[in-house]
Amino acid sequence: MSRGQRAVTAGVTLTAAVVLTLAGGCWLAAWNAWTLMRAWRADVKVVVYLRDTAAPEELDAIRAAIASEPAVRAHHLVTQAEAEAEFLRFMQLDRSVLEGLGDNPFPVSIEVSVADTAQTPSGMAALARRWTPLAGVEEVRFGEALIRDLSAAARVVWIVGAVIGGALAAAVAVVIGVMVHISLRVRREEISLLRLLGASDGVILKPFLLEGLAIGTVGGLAASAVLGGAWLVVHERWGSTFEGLLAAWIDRLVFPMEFMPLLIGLGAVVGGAGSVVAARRVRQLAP
Amino acid sequence: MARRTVSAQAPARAAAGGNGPVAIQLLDVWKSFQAGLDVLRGVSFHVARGELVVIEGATGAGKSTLFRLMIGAERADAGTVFVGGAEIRGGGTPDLAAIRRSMGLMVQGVPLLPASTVADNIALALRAVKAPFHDTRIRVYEILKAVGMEGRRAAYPPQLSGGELQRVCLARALVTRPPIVLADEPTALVDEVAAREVISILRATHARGVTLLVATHDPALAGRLGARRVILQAGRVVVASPVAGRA
Repeated sequence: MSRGQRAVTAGVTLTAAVVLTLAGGCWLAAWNAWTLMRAWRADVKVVVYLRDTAAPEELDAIRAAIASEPAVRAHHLVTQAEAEAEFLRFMQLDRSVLEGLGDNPFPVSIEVSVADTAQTPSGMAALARRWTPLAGVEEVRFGEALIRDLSAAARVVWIVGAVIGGALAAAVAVVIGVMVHISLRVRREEISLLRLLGASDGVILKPFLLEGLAIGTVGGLAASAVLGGAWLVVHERWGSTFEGLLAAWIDRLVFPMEFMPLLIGLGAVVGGAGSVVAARRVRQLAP
Repeated sequence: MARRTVSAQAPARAAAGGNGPVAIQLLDVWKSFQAGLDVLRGVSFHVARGELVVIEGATGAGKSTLFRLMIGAERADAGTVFVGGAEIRGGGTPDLAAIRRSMGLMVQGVPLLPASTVADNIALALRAVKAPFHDTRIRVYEILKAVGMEGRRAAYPPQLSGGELQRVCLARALVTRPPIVLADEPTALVDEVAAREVISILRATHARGVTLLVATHDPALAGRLGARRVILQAGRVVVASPVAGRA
Protein backbone atom coordinates (compact mmCIF):
# COMPACT_ATOMS: atom_id res chain seq x y z
CA MET A 1 0.00 0.00 0.00
CA SER A 2 1.46 3.34 -1.04
CA ARG A 3 1.75 6.36 1.26
CA GLY A 4 -1.14 8.05 -0.58
CA GLN A 5 -3.38 5.00 -0.13
CA ARG A 6 -2.50 4.84 3.56
CA ALA A 7 -3.45 8.51 3.93
CA VAL A 8 -6.79 7.91 2.16
CA THR A 9 -7.50 4.89 4.38
CA ALA A 10 -6.62 6.85 7.54
CA GLY A 11 -8.82 9.76 6.44
CA VAL A 12 -11.76 7.48 5.69
CA THR A 13 -11.33 5.64 9.00
CA LEU A 14 -11.38 8.96 10.84
CA THR A 15 -14.45 10.10 8.90
CA ALA A 16 -16.20 6.80 9.63
CA ALA A 17 -15.35 7.17 13.31
CA VAL A 18 -16.65 10.75 13.45
CA VAL A 19 -19.89 9.96 11.59
CA LEU A 20 -20.45 6.78 13.64
CA THR A 21 -19.89 8.83 16.80
CA LEU A 22 -22.54 11.28 15.64
CA ALA A 23 -24.90 8.42 14.73
CA GLY A 24 -24.23 6.66 18.03
CA GLY A 25 -24.68 9.96 19.86
CA CYS A 26 -28.08 10.41 18.21
CA TRP A 27 -29.19 6.93 19.19
CA LEU A 28 -27.83 7.31 22.70
CA ALA A 29 -29.58 10.66 23.11
CA ALA A 30 -32.80 9.22 21.70
CA TRP A 31 -32.53 6.19 23.95
CA ASN A 32 -31.94 8.33 27.03
CA ALA A 33 -34.71 10.76 26.15
CA TRP A 34 -37.08 7.87 25.56
CA THR A 35 -36.05 6.18 28.81
CA LEU A 36 -36.41 9.45 30.69
CA MET A 37 -39.86 10.07 29.30
CA ARG A 38 -40.90 6.56 30.19
CA ALA A 39 -39.59 7.15 33.69
CA TRP A 40 -41.49 10.42 33.96
CA ARG A 41 -44.57 8.69 32.67
CA ALA A 42 -44.11 5.97 35.27
CA ASP A 43 -43.99 8.70 37.95
CA VAL A 44 -47.44 9.88 36.94
CA LYS A 45 -49.97 8.35 39.32
CA VAL A 46 -53.72 7.89 39.23
CA VAL A 47 -55.07 9.79 42.26
CA VAL A 48 -58.42 8.72 43.73
CA TYR A 49 -59.78 11.59 45.85
CA LEU A 50 -62.19 10.55 48.57
CA ARG A 51 -65.21 12.41 49.90
CA ASP A 52 -64.84 13.93 53.38
CA THR A 53 -67.89 11.89 54.29
CA ALA A 54 -66.52 8.56 53.12
CA ALA A 55 -67.17 5.83 55.72
CA PRO A 56 -64.36 3.49 56.76
CA GLU A 57 -66.13 0.51 55.09
CA GLU A 58 -66.38 2.54 51.86
CA LEU A 59 -62.65 3.25 52.08
CA ASP A 60 -61.97 -0.49 52.53
CA ALA A 61 -64.14 -1.31 49.53
CA ILE A 62 -62.34 1.29 47.39
CA ARG A 63 -58.92 -0.05 48.42
CA ALA A 64 -60.05 -3.61 47.68
CA ALA A 65 -61.31 -2.56 44.24
CA ILE A 66 -58.01 -0.84 43.46
CA ALA A 67 -55.94 -3.79 44.68
CA SER A 68 -57.93 -6.22 42.55
CA GLU A 69 -56.89 -4.50 39.30
CA PRO A 70 -54.04 -6.42 37.53
CA ALA A 71 -52.68 -3.12 36.12
CA VAL A 72 -52.08 -1.70 39.61
CA ARG A 73 -48.46 -1.92 40.75
CA ALA A 74 -48.86 -0.21 44.15
CA HIS A 75 -51.26 2.05 45.98
CA HIS A 76 -50.85 4.30 48.97
CA LEU A 77 -53.35 6.10 51.19
CA VAL A 78 -52.47 9.77 51.62
CA THR A 79 -54.02 11.26 54.76
CA GLN A 80 -55.04 14.90 55.07
CA ALA A 81 -51.96 15.59 57.22
CA GLU A 82 -49.65 13.93 54.68
CA ALA A 83 -51.24 15.84 51.83
CA GLU A 84 -50.78 19.12 53.66
CA ALA A 85 -47.16 18.32 54.50
CA GLU A 86 -46.40 17.35 50.89
CA PHE A 87 -48.02 20.59 49.64
CA LEU A 88 -45.92 22.71 52.00
CA ARG A 89 -42.73 20.81 51.11
CA PHE A 90 -43.34 21.08 47.39
CA MET A 91 -44.25 24.77 47.52
CA GLN A 92 -41.48 25.44 50.08
CA LEU A 93 -43.93 27.29 52.31
CA ASP A 94 -44.30 27.64 56.03
CA ARG A 95 -47.35 26.19 57.83
CA SER A 96 -48.35 29.67 58.92
CA VAL A 97 -49.71 30.45 55.44
CA LEU A 98 -52.51 27.91 56.05
CA GLU A 99 -53.53 29.31 59.43
CA GLY A 100 -56.43 31.37 58.07
CA LEU A 101 -57.97 28.36 56.31
CA GLY A 102 -59.31 26.70 59.44
CA ASP A 103 -59.44 22.88 59.27
CA ASN A 104 -57.06 21.01 56.99
CA PRO A 105 -58.55 21.62 53.52
CA PHE A 106 -56.67 18.78 51.74
CA PRO A 107 -58.74 15.73 50.90
CA VAL A 108 -57.80 12.16 51.72
CA SER A 109 -56.63 10.38 48.57
CA ILE A 110 -55.21 7.09 47.30
CA GLU A 111 -52.19 7.38 44.96
CA VAL A 112 -52.02 4.48 42.54
CA SER A 113 -48.92 3.48 40.54
CA VAL A 114 -49.78 1.46 37.45
CA ALA A 115 -47.81 -1.09 35.46
CA ASP A 116 -45.96 -0.08 32.23
CA THR A 117 -48.68 -1.59 30.08
CA ALA A 118 -51.34 0.66 31.58
CA GLN A 119 -49.27 3.87 31.42
CA THR A 120 -51.24 5.18 28.49
CA PRO A 121 -54.02 7.75 28.35
CA SER A 122 -56.54 5.04 27.45
CA GLY A 123 -55.27 2.60 30.08
CA MET A 124 -55.46 5.16 32.86
CA ALA A 125 -58.82 6.49 31.66
CA ALA A 126 -60.23 2.95 31.84
CA LEU A 127 -59.13 2.66 35.47
CA ALA A 128 -60.58 6.09 36.26
CA ARG A 129 -63.93 5.10 34.69
CA ARG A 130 -64.11 1.99 36.87
CA TRP A 131 -63.22 3.75 40.13
CA THR A 132 -65.19 7.02 39.79
CA PRO A 133 -68.65 5.44 40.47
CA LEU A 134 -67.47 3.73 43.68
CA ALA A 135 -69.22 4.94 46.84
CA GLY A 136 -67.04 7.47 48.72
CA VAL A 137 -65.03 8.56 45.66
CA GLU A 138 -65.10 12.29 44.94
CA GLU A 139 -63.14 12.17 41.68
CA VAL A 140 -60.26 10.36 39.94
CA ARG A 141 -57.41 12.30 38.26
CA PHE A 142 -54.41 11.02 36.38
CA GLY A 143 -52.90 13.89 34.37
CA GLU A 144 -54.30 12.75 31.05
CA ALA A 145 -52.75 15.61 29.08
CA LEU A 146 -49.30 15.00 30.60
CA ILE A 147 -49.43 11.27 29.86
CA ARG A 148 -50.52 11.96 26.29
CA ASP A 149 -47.76 14.55 25.76
CA LEU A 150 -45.06 12.34 27.27
CA SER A 151 -46.14 9.35 25.14
CA ALA A 152 -46.11 11.47 21.98
CA ALA A 153 -42.76 13.08 22.87
CA ALA A 154 -41.18 9.66 23.55
CA ARG A 155 -42.38 8.44 20.17
CA VAL A 156 -41.12 11.54 18.33
CA VAL A 157 -37.73 11.45 20.05
CA TRP A 158 -37.32 7.77 19.21
CA ILE A 159 -38.29 8.25 15.56
CA VAL A 160 -36.13 11.37 15.07
CA GLY A 161 -33.12 9.73 16.73
CA ALA A 162 -33.52 6.55 14.70
CA VAL A 163 -33.92 8.44 11.41
CA ILE A 164 -30.95 10.80 11.95
CA GLY A 165 -28.79 7.94 13.26
CA GLY A 166 -29.85 5.72 10.35
CA ALA A 167 -29.03 8.45 7.84
CA LEU A 168 -25.59 8.93 9.42
CA ALA A 169 -24.95 5.17 9.36
CA ALA A 170 -25.88 5.16 5.68
CA ALA A 171 -23.44 8.04 5.21
CA VAL A 172 -20.69 5.86 6.71
CA ALA A 173 -21.51 3.11 4.19
CA VAL A 174 -21.34 5.65 1.36
CA VAL A 175 -18.02 7.10 2.55
CA ILE A 176 -16.44 3.65 2.87
CA GLY A 177 -17.94 2.59 -0.47
CA VAL A 178 -16.44 5.65 -2.17
CA MET A 179 -13.07 4.94 -0.58
CA VAL A 180 -13.14 1.30 -1.75
CA HIS A 181 -14.17 2.50 -5.21
CA ILE A 182 -11.22 4.94 -5.30
CA SER A 183 -8.94 2.20 -4.02
CA LEU A 184 -10.15 -0.14 -6.78
CA ARG A 185 -9.45 2.56 -9.38
CA VAL A 186 -5.99 3.28 -7.98
CA ARG A 187 -5.15 -0.42 -8.04
CA ARG A 188 -6.76 -1.10 -11.43
CA GLU A 189 -3.43 -2.18 -12.91
CA GLU A 190 -2.91 -4.73 -10.17
CA ILE A 191 -6.48 -6.01 -10.56
CA SER A 192 -6.07 -6.40 -14.33
CA LEU A 193 -2.85 -8.28 -13.75
CA LEU A 194 -4.46 -10.56 -11.19
CA ARG A 195 -7.23 -11.31 -13.68
CA LEU A 196 -4.69 -12.26 -16.35
CA LEU A 197 -2.93 -14.47 -13.84
CA GLY A 198 -6.19 -16.34 -13.25
CA ALA A 199 -7.35 -14.87 -9.95
CA SER A 200 -11.05 -15.36 -9.22
CA ASP A 201 -13.29 -12.42 -8.28
CA GLY A 202 -13.17 -13.63 -4.69
CA VAL A 203 -9.38 -13.49 -4.56
CA ILE A 204 -9.35 -10.04 -6.16
CA LEU A 205 -12.07 -8.51 -4.00
CA LYS A 206 -11.17 -10.08 -0.66
CA PRO A 207 -8.63 -7.43 0.40
CA PHE A 208 -11.01 -4.60 -0.53
CA LEU A 209 -13.92 -6.16 1.36
CA LEU A 210 -11.70 -6.80 4.36
CA GLU A 211 -10.49 -3.21 4.18
CA GLY A 212 -14.08 -1.88 4.27
CA LEU A 213 -14.94 -4.24 7.10
CA ALA A 214 -11.84 -3.23 9.06
CA ILE A 215 -12.44 0.49 8.57
CA GLY A 216 -16.06 0.14 9.74
CA THR A 217 -15.01 -1.93 12.76
CA VAL A 218 -12.25 0.49 13.76
CA GLY A 219 -14.68 3.41 13.24
CA GLY A 220 -17.24 1.66 15.47
CA LEU A 221 -14.60 0.97 18.12
CA ALA A 222 -13.47 4.59 18.11
CA ALA A 223 -17.06 5.83 18.25
CA SER A 224 -17.82 3.52 21.21
CA ALA A 225 -14.75 4.76 23.04
CA VAL A 226 -15.59 8.42 22.41
CA LEU A 227 -19.23 8.03 23.45
CA GLY A 228 -18.32 5.91 26.49
CA GLY A 229 -15.78 8.53 27.54
CA ALA A 230 -18.25 11.35 26.98
CA TRP A 231 -20.86 9.56 29.07
CA LEU A 232 -18.37 9.04 31.90
CA VAL A 233 -17.44 12.74 31.83
CA VAL A 234 -21.08 13.87 31.80
CA HIS A 235 -22.30 11.36 34.35
CA GLU A 236 -19.41 11.28 36.79
CA ARG A 237 -18.17 14.85 36.67
CA TRP A 238 -21.11 17.05 35.67
CA GLY A 239 -23.57 14.99 37.75
CA SER A 240 -21.91 16.27 40.88
CA THR A 241 -21.38 19.80 39.53
CA PHE A 242 -25.02 20.64 38.94
CA GLU A 243 -27.90 20.57 41.38
CA GLY A 244 -31.64 20.26 41.25
CA LEU A 245 -33.51 19.08 38.16
CA LEU A 246 -30.41 19.01 35.86
CA ALA A 247 -28.48 16.86 38.34
CA ALA A 248 -31.47 14.51 38.64
CA TRP A 249 -31.69 14.34 34.87
CA ILE A 250 -27.96 13.68 34.46
CA ASP A 251 -28.21 11.04 37.16
CA ARG A 252 -30.82 9.25 35.12
CA LEU A 253 -28.63 9.13 31.96
CA VAL A 254 -27.70 5.58 31.00
CA PHE A 255 -25.04 4.11 28.73
CA PRO A 256 -26.12 0.53 28.08
CA MET A 257 -23.11 -1.77 27.80
CA GLU A 258 -24.81 -3.59 24.90
CA PHE A 259 -24.49 -0.34 22.99
CA MET A 260 -20.72 -0.76 22.46
CA PRO A 261 -20.75 -4.14 20.66
CA LEU A 262 -23.81 -2.97 18.75
CA LEU A 263 -22.01 0.14 17.50
CA ILE A 264 -18.88 -1.86 16.61
CA GLY A 265 -21.01 -4.45 14.83
CA LEU A 266 -22.90 -1.71 13.02
CA GLY A 267 -19.60 -0.18 11.90
CA ALA A 268 -18.48 -3.55 10.54
CA VAL A 269 -21.80 -4.11 8.78
CA VAL A 270 -21.97 -0.68 7.11
CA GLY A 271 -18.26 -0.89 6.21
CA GLY A 272 -18.74 -4.32 4.66
CA ALA A 273 -21.94 -3.23 2.90
CA GLY A 274 -20.29 -0.12 1.47
CA SER A 275 -17.34 -2.06 0.14
CA VAL A 276 -19.55 -4.84 -1.30
CA VAL A 277 -21.60 -2.27 -3.24
CA ALA A 278 -18.42 -0.58 -4.53
CA ALA A 279 -16.70 -3.87 -5.34
CA ARG A 280 -19.59 -4.99 -7.53
CA ARG A 281 -18.20 -2.64 -10.16
CA VAL A 282 -14.79 -4.27 -10.27
CA ARG A 283 -15.51 -6.00 -13.61
CA GLN A 284 -16.25 -2.63 -15.20
CA LEU A 285 -12.98 -1.22 -13.85
CA ALA A 286 -10.79 -4.12 -14.90
CA PRO A 287 -12.55 -6.48 -17.33
CA MET B 1 -7.97 -15.32 -48.71
CA ALA B 2 -11.53 -16.25 -47.76
CA ARG B 3 -12.07 -17.10 -44.14
CA ARG B 4 -13.18 -20.62 -43.31
CA THR B 5 -15.62 -21.35 -40.54
CA VAL B 6 -14.37 -23.99 -38.17
CA SER B 7 -16.72 -25.84 -35.90
CA ALA B 8 -16.28 -25.26 -32.21
CA GLN B 9 -16.57 -29.02 -31.91
CA ALA B 10 -13.28 -29.52 -33.74
CA PRO B 11 -11.30 -32.45 -32.42
CA ALA B 12 -9.15 -31.59 -29.44
CA ARG B 13 -6.63 -34.23 -30.45
CA ALA B 14 -4.17 -33.30 -33.13
CA ALA B 15 -4.69 -35.14 -36.35
CA ALA B 16 -1.12 -34.76 -37.48
CA GLY B 17 0.68 -36.71 -34.84
CA GLY B 18 1.88 -35.59 -31.42
CA ASN B 19 3.07 -37.40 -28.36
CA GLY B 20 -0.02 -37.08 -26.18
CA PRO B 21 -3.33 -35.30 -25.76
CA VAL B 22 -3.35 -31.78 -27.11
CA ALA B 23 -2.53 -28.97 -24.70
CA ILE B 24 -3.04 -26.11 -27.15
CA GLN B 25 -4.73 -26.15 -30.52
CA LEU B 26 -5.51 -23.39 -33.01
CA LEU B 27 -7.78 -24.06 -35.96
CA ASP B 28 -7.92 -21.55 -38.79
CA VAL B 29 -7.61 -18.55 -36.48
CA TRP B 30 -8.09 -15.05 -37.89
CA LYS B 31 -7.58 -11.80 -36.08
CA SER B 32 -7.40 -8.17 -37.11
CA PHE B 33 -7.32 -4.99 -35.06
CA GLN B 34 -8.07 -2.76 -38.05
CA ALA B 35 -10.44 -3.43 -40.93
CA GLY B 36 -8.59 -5.01 -43.84
CA LEU B 37 -5.39 -5.52 -41.87
CA ASP B 38 -5.24 -9.09 -40.61
CA VAL B 39 -2.65 -9.85 -37.95
CA LEU B 40 -3.41 -13.57 -38.05
CA ARG B 41 -4.60 -15.23 -41.23
CA GLY B 42 -5.91 -18.73 -40.83
CA VAL B 43 -3.35 -19.94 -38.30
CA SER B 44 -3.61 -23.62 -37.39
CA PHE B 45 -1.22 -25.65 -35.26
CA HIS B 46 -1.23 -27.65 -32.07
CA VAL B 47 1.02 -28.28 -29.13
CA ALA B 48 0.86 -31.71 -27.51
CA ARG B 49 0.87 -32.03 -23.76
CA GLY B 50 4.45 -31.94 -22.50
CA GLU B 51 5.75 -30.67 -25.83
CA LEU B 52 8.21 -27.81 -26.37
CA VAL B 53 7.32 -25.66 -29.36
CA VAL B 54 8.96 -22.48 -30.59
CA ILE B 55 6.97 -20.02 -32.67
CA GLU B 56 9.41 -18.08 -34.81
CA GLY B 57 8.62 -14.86 -36.55
CA ALA B 58 9.76 -11.31 -37.10
CA THR B 59 8.31 -8.42 -35.14
CA GLY B 60 4.68 -7.98 -36.20
CA ALA B 61 4.32 -11.56 -37.42
CA GLY B 62 1.50 -12.10 -34.91
CA LYS B 63 3.30 -14.09 -32.18
CA SER B 64 2.16 -11.94 -29.28
CA THR B 65 -1.39 -11.79 -30.65
CA LEU B 66 -1.43 -15.59 -30.68
CA PHE B 67 -0.50 -15.63 -27.02
CA ARG B 68 -3.12 -13.01 -26.17
CA LEU B 69 -5.76 -15.18 -27.87
CA MET B 70 -4.61 -18.20 -25.86
CA ILE B 71 -4.99 -16.38 -22.54
CA GLY B 72 -8.36 -14.89 -23.50
CA ALA B 73 -7.11 -11.30 -23.50
CA GLU B 74 -8.33 -11.06 -27.11
CA ARG B 75 -10.98 -12.97 -29.04
CA ALA B 76 -10.38 -14.48 -32.47
CA ASP B 77 -12.45 -12.98 -35.30
CA ALA B 78 -12.80 -16.47 -36.75
CA GLY B 79 -11.45 -19.93 -36.02
CA THR B 80 -11.06 -21.70 -32.72
CA VAL B 81 -8.50 -21.67 -29.92
CA PHE B 82 -8.38 -24.55 -27.46
CA VAL B 83 -6.29 -24.65 -24.31
CA GLY B 84 -6.40 -27.84 -22.26
CA GLY B 85 -9.47 -28.94 -24.19
CA ALA B 86 -11.43 -25.76 -23.40
CA GLU B 87 -12.39 -23.35 -26.14
CA ILE B 88 -11.09 -19.84 -25.50
CA ARG B 89 -13.49 -17.10 -26.57
CA GLY B 90 -11.93 -13.97 -25.14
CA GLY B 91 -13.06 -12.49 -21.82
CA GLY B 92 -16.40 -14.29 -21.96
CA THR B 93 -14.85 -17.77 -21.81
CA PRO B 94 -16.47 -19.91 -19.13
CA ASP B 95 -13.99 -20.73 -16.35
CA LEU B 96 -11.41 -18.44 -17.95
CA ALA B 97 -9.80 -17.78 -14.56
CA ALA B 98 -9.24 -21.52 -14.01
CA ILE B 99 -7.80 -21.89 -17.53
CA ARG B 100 -5.46 -18.96 -16.91
CA ARG B 101 -4.37 -20.50 -13.63
CA SER B 102 -3.22 -23.55 -15.60
CA MET B 103 -0.79 -21.33 -17.53
CA GLY B 104 2.41 -19.56 -16.57
CA LEU B 105 2.60 -16.31 -18.50
CA MET B 106 5.65 -14.46 -19.67
CA VAL B 107 3.67 -12.50 -22.18
CA GLN B 108 3.43 -8.92 -23.43
CA GLY B 109 0.54 -7.20 -21.69
CA VAL B 110 1.15 -9.08 -18.46
CA PRO B 111 3.62 -6.63 -16.99
CA LEU B 112 5.34 -6.35 -13.63
CA LEU B 113 3.88 -3.82 -11.21
CA PRO B 114 6.42 -1.00 -11.03
CA ALA B 115 5.47 0.03 -7.48
CA SER B 116 5.83 -3.51 -6.08
CA THR B 117 9.08 -5.27 -5.30
CA VAL B 118 10.32 -8.22 -7.30
CA ALA B 119 9.24 -10.58 -4.50
CA ASP B 120 5.77 -9.00 -4.28
CA ASN B 121 5.34 -9.23 -8.05
CA ILE B 122 6.05 -12.94 -7.94
CA ALA B 123 3.89 -13.44 -4.86
CA LEU B 124 1.01 -11.90 -6.82
CA ALA B 125 0.97 -14.97 -9.09
CA LEU B 126 0.80 -17.22 -6.03
CA ARG B 127 -2.04 -15.09 -4.65
CA ALA B 128 -3.91 -15.53 -7.93
CA VAL B 129 -3.78 -19.33 -7.62
CA LYS B 130 -4.63 -19.20 -3.88
CA ALA B 131 -1.33 -20.78 -2.87
CA PRO B 132 -1.07 -21.24 0.92
CA PHE B 133 0.14 -17.99 2.44
CA HIS B 134 2.77 -19.67 4.61
CA ASP B 135 4.36 -21.18 1.48
CA THR B 136 4.63 -17.90 -0.39
CA ARG B 137 7.94 -16.61 0.99
CA ILE B 138 9.82 -19.83 0.51
CA ARG B 139 8.42 -20.44 -2.98
CA VAL B 140 9.26 -16.91 -4.05
CA TYR B 141 12.79 -17.32 -2.72
CA GLU B 142 13.25 -20.70 -4.42
CA ILE B 143 12.10 -19.49 -7.83
CA LEU B 144 14.20 -16.32 -7.58
CA LYS B 145 17.19 -18.47 -6.73
CA ALA B 146 16.44 -20.69 -9.72
CA VAL B 147 16.58 -17.68 -12.07
CA GLY B 148 19.55 -16.15 -10.25
CA MET B 149 17.64 -13.16 -8.89
CA GLU B 150 17.44 -13.95 -5.17
CA GLY B 151 19.70 -10.99 -4.40
CA ARG B 152 17.30 -8.59 -6.13
CA ARG B 153 14.06 -9.64 -4.46
CA ALA B 154 13.63 -6.28 -2.70
CA ALA B 155 14.31 -4.26 -5.87
CA TYR B 156 11.58 -2.53 -7.85
CA PRO B 157 11.14 -3.27 -11.58
CA PRO B 158 12.28 0.20 -12.73
CA GLN B 159 15.59 -0.52 -10.99
CA LEU B 160 16.21 -3.70 -13.04
CA SER B 161 18.01 -4.18 -16.34
CA GLY B 162 16.22 -5.69 -19.36
CA GLY B 163 17.72 -9.11 -18.69
CA GLU B 164 16.76 -8.99 -15.02
CA LEU B 165 13.20 -8.03 -15.93
CA GLN B 166 13.00 -11.03 -18.27
CA ARG B 167 14.19 -13.36 -15.54
CA VAL B 168 11.69 -11.95 -13.03
CA CYS B 169 8.88 -12.40 -15.57
CA LEU B 170 10.04 -15.97 -16.14
CA ALA B 171 10.14 -16.57 -12.39
CA ARG B 172 6.58 -15.28 -12.05
CA ALA B 173 5.47 -17.59 -14.88
CA LEU B 174 7.05 -20.64 -13.23
CA VAL B 175 6.39 -20.02 -9.54
CA THR B 176 2.89 -21.53 -9.61
CA ARG B 177 4.25 -24.72 -11.25
CA PRO B 178 1.69 -24.58 -14.09
CA PRO B 179 1.28 -27.43 -16.60
CA ILE B 180 1.54 -24.97 -19.52
CA VAL B 181 3.99 -22.07 -19.88
CA LEU B 182 3.80 -19.35 -22.54
CA ALA B 183 7.04 -17.40 -22.93
CA ASP B 184 7.18 -14.45 -25.30
CA GLU B 185 10.72 -13.48 -26.33
CA PRO B 186 12.36 -14.92 -23.18
CA THR B 187 15.88 -14.24 -24.45
CA ALA B 188 15.28 -10.79 -25.87
CA LEU B 189 17.14 -7.92 -24.17
CA VAL B 190 19.53 -10.29 -22.38
CA ASP B 191 23.21 -10.87 -22.95
CA GLU B 192 24.57 -14.22 -24.05
CA VAL B 193 25.33 -15.41 -20.50
CA ALA B 194 21.86 -14.56 -19.27
CA ALA B 195 20.32 -16.08 -22.42
CA ARG B 196 22.09 -19.37 -21.68
CA GLU B 197 20.69 -19.30 -18.15
CA VAL B 198 17.16 -18.64 -19.41
CA ILE B 199 17.46 -21.45 -21.96
CA SER B 200 18.71 -23.78 -19.27
CA ILE B 201 15.73 -22.90 -17.04
CA LEU B 202 13.29 -23.43 -19.92
CA ARG B 203 14.80 -26.81 -20.74
CA ALA B 204 14.67 -27.86 -17.11
CA THR B 205 11.05 -26.74 -16.94
CA HIS B 206 10.21 -28.76 -20.03
CA ALA B 207 12.07 -31.75 -18.64
CA ARG B 208 9.60 -31.74 -15.73
CA GLY B 209 6.81 -32.43 -18.25
CA VAL B 210 5.59 -28.87 -18.62
CA THR B 211 4.09 -27.89 -21.99
CA LEU B 212 6.20 -24.99 -23.22
CA LEU B 213 5.31 -22.60 -26.00
CA VAL B 214 8.01 -20.05 -26.73
CA ALA B 215 7.71 -17.13 -29.14
CA THR B 216 10.90 -15.60 -30.53
CA HIS B 217 12.34 -13.69 -33.42
CA ASP B 218 15.65 -15.54 -32.92
CA PRO B 219 15.97 -18.33 -35.53
CA ALA B 220 18.61 -20.09 -33.42
CA LEU B 221 16.49 -20.47 -30.28
CA ALA B 222 14.48 -23.50 -31.45
CA GLY B 223 17.70 -25.37 -32.10
CA ARG B 224 19.17 -24.38 -28.74
CA LEU B 225 16.01 -25.53 -26.99
CA GLY B 226 15.69 -28.70 -29.08
CA ALA B 227 12.11 -27.66 -29.87
CA ARG B 228 9.63 -28.15 -32.69
CA ARG B 229 9.38 -24.99 -34.81
CA VAL B 230 6.32 -23.19 -36.06
CA ILE B 231 7.33 -20.31 -38.31
CA LEU B 232 4.92 -17.44 -38.56
CA GLN B 233 5.18 -14.94 -41.38
CA ALA B 234 2.78 -12.04 -41.84
CA GLY B 235 0.13 -13.78 -39.79
CA ARG B 236 0.42 -17.18 -41.50
CA VAL B 237 2.11 -20.44 -40.54
CA VAL B 238 4.64 -21.02 -43.28
CA VAL B 239 6.62 -23.87 -41.74
CA ALA B 240 5.66 -26.36 -39.05
CA SER B 241 8.53 -28.72 -38.43
CA PRO B 242 7.78 -32.36 -37.60
CA VAL B 243 7.08 -33.31 -34.03
CA ALA B 244 10.41 -33.81 -32.35
CA GLY B 245 9.13 -35.38 -29.15
CA ARG B 246 10.33 -34.50 -25.71
CA ALA B 247 13.73 -32.87 -25.54
